[in-house]
Amino acid sequence: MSSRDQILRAVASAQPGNHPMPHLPTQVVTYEDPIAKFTEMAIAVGGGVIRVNGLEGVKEHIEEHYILSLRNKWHITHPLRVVSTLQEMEAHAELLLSGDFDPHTLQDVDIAIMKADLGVAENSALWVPETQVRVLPFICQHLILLVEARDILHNMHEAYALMGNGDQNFGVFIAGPSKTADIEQSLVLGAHGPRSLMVYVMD
Amino acid sequence: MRGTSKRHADLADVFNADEARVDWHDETLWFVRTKRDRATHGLEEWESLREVASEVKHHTLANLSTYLEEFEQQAIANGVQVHWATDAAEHNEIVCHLLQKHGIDRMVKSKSMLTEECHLNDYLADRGIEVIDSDLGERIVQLAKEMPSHIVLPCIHKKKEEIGDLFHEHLGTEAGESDPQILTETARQHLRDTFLTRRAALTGVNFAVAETGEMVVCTNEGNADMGAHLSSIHIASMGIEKLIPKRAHLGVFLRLLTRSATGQPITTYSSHFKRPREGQEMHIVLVDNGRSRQLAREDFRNSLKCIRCGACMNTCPVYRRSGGHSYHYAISGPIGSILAPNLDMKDFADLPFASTLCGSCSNVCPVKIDIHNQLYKWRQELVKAGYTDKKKTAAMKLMAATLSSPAKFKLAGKLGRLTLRYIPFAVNNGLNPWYKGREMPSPPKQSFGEWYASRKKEGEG
Repeated sequence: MSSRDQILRAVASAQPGNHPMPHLPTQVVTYEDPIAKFTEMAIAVGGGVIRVNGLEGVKEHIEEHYILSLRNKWHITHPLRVVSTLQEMEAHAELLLSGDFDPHTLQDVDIAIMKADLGVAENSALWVPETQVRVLPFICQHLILLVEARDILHNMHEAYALMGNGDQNFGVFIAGPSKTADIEQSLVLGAHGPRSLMVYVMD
Repeated sequence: MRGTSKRHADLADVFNADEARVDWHDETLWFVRTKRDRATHGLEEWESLREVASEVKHHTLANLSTYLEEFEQQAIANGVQVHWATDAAEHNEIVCHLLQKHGIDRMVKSKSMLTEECHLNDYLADRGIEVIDSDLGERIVQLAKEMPSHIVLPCIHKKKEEIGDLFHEHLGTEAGESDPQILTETARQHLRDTFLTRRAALTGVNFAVAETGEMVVCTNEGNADMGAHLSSIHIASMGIEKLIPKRAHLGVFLRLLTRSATGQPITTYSSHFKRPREGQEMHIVLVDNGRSRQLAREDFRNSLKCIRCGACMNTCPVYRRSGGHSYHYAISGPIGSILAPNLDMKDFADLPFASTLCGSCSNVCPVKIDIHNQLYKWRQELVKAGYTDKKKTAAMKLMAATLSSPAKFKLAGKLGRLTLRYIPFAVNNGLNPWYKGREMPSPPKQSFGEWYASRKKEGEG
């Protein structure tokens, strides 16, 4: 008998009698102002949030404030490699619109600009779907995520209800910059992934 | 308890030799427990979430064979290769074979307690394959040639100065450097090179969804993703109990997991792997290794609901003061003490006794496992099976005989009081285990029985 059949047979004979599938919780937290809650949680997990007026607002803020303050804060003097998966960012970043390249070539990306399908107020998680370049939101030094204000939901249950079973090859909820507290519980931002996360909430 | 060197009490003695460190360890874990409290008390639906999660797991375990088949079918349809391993040895063979087939002798691995359970690193090392653990805490214990002492916080037992020494020796930091920021940055640079140069990555699995065939991996560091997305072959090892039926259930479990573990509202990354990247191979190894046996044990099957948050360890008064290594098993603390004897009753017979049965573990468990009841039940099983200390069994029998006879009880009481009064050194010494950490009580002048009889006489007189 194959290991597969052996395991399935052992499990089938060991499992207890049927037990009904429970319903999902119905009384679930909602917020008076989900964007305010989202912002509070995003800052609590080490990220930043700027509310802007549409894509134009994003571009304006990146050019006039974000890059300057990033350079100052992280003492960056070299030319920045900025990449984006968004056609709209053409004038501001190198575009990555197909997955037809070696992901290792992204190792020197300073800033990645990507779009999230939705955000969740209770924990500031943003759903970033497959974009052909899976490693991008992890390998960049700093990550910028854009999200429409109307796509910010209250809680995780709403997020999964909206996404359904999806058909993405890969997708990730991202909440804050990469972090670790493995050394004596001291929080350090920038473990292996981005050192910072900036979220633009677009009206 | 047994004739081997590995006993919780002895290993705890080693840890307890440094009292200041025990206090520090205790306080650090209690700090994590209080963060958990703050994250959960704010959510009104917390208790109903726990209840639903527990029921979803119950339902899954009741239909596990069906869900496993559904998962396999979906995963294969997604282009993932599915492997089945009845035990640790078979798991290790499968992984080793996959690597050898591709001519790979170096692999990067993110956190996976299952591979600790299977001793994969040693197995591969013996066959000339080097594994680098990429979770910072795991990398630290790997450099120290130790096991993780906690499933969520692998090097929680280590002081930053000790980590600094390790980094000085292995990664070339300045001697005496112990700033967590600088040490983390050093590990970041060192492991970035590893991620970029490894063709194979192994990850654990937090949840696998039967209806979609996808698996979810949660990390704060992003190390699982850095490994998997840069590799040409991604192997995910999972215990068969990690399944949940529907994707919508992730909403429940992702809300519970990190709030219980570290008090965070969610991990930084909750990655949903469904199909391999273009040109990449993705493999899932489904591992039994005693899980079907535990499923058949009615008293202990609830332990398979565990989502590995570590809350039971952080709250456990014994774990906090004895350290994770005293459990001499990959999963330490209260839940590990239920899982380990299932694998080897003889080797781990001491673990269910490493508890005060206070029930704090059961109170914080996000999937409502009755942990302390199961520990109590294991003790009975182990005594029945003869794996416990024979001296203790003899003492219990003697006590039962004494308590069942009023004459023997009176005599024993009298002897005890006389001993404590006139020759206290006969019991206040190292040979008496009860004396360890305690003083023997000063004896009363008379027993309750004697006192009652004298009162009665006075009343009559």
